[in-house]
Amino acid sequence: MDELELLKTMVSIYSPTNDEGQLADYLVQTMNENGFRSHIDEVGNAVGIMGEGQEEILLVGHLDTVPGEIAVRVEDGVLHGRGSVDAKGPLAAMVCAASGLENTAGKRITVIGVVDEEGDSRGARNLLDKYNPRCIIIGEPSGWDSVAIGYKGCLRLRYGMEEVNKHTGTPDPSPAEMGVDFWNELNDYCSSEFGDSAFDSLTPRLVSFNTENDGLRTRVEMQIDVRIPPAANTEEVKASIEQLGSGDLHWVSEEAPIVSSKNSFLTRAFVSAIREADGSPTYKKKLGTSDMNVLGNHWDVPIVAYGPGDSKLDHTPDERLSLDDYSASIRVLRSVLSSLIEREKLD
Amino acid sequence: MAECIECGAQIALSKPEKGEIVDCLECGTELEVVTDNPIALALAPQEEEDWGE
Repeated sequence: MDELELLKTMVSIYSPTNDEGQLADYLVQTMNENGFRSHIDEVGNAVGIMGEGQEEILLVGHLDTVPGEIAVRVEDGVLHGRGSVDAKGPLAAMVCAASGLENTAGKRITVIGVVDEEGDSRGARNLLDKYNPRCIIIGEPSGWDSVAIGYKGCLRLRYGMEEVNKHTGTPDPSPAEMGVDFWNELNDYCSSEFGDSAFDSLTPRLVSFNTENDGLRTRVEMQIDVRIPPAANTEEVKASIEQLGSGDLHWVSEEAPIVSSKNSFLTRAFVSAIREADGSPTYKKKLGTSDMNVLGNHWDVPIVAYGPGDSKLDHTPDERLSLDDYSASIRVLRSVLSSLIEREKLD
Repeated sequence: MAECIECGAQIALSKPEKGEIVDCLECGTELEVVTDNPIALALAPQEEEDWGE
């Protein structure tokens, strides 16, 4: 398999969420040509299977990107383009690593490019009742010499407040001011809870703030994300937030946090493989969320996220990936898969 | 038994495995078993926070 050609083609196929079909077709065709048994499942995920056996190793990346095309080009060993980091580089690396396996020793290696990771994880959720993996590797940019073992959770909420218009000279607070009061109370609550580090703290983010006035009534609406640390009880956090301010709260979505063991056979395999590739391994704990939250909270099996790229470039107009890092990540993944295959049992 | 390379405390290891991560109960340092016969410990890989996905 031409590793660079695969990556460049995948990045060249623009695939924002809900428009992943062309990329899925390309990936299935490419995997079929390189030893996988491949198909597109009922929600549009591209699935490639290598080997056969009772014990399944699941590698899950995503096909979709956030919107915003970036001219695809290679300059000085760096590939620029939307999705190069998040997360076509990691997905391409998984396909390349699995395609090189000559003998899976009675294990089934399944690589899946899922749809809608940047949306509601429709692709990942479709896997939950269809597979029974012994371990899972999520394709996300950890950096080639790091392995991600944790993601914060996320509560997404909508706040609304509407009132009959009053003269601006009234001493009563306006709906906009009440919205600001709620936001300030939420900040005070979050800063009073849990740990000091960014990963261990409860972190609110104001995503949008809108006011509408039709001449008779004024409405304010805010969209807010609250990032949840592993130590938090999500239901208790929700109950506390519901006591704040005045207005209507609507919970839009909820993802639980996840932290994997450093002592699982999977995490150890990554640490060892990164060293074999002359790297100094580190563990990453991520402040965002990914499909690792969805899959890792469903199956009680070892899970990590891994892939080349600097995630600070996620979703930015400067998204780019070092091709040396991409090659190194393929070596690491090959080494990890080889060590997993060599194990008598994956437990 | 093994010795913490940070504080010198004795750490009891029943069946140490190469690559295993253990905590020193005295100083809290995370250590990695780098060889299991004889037992040798090194500092475990560091943890970093990362704001992305």
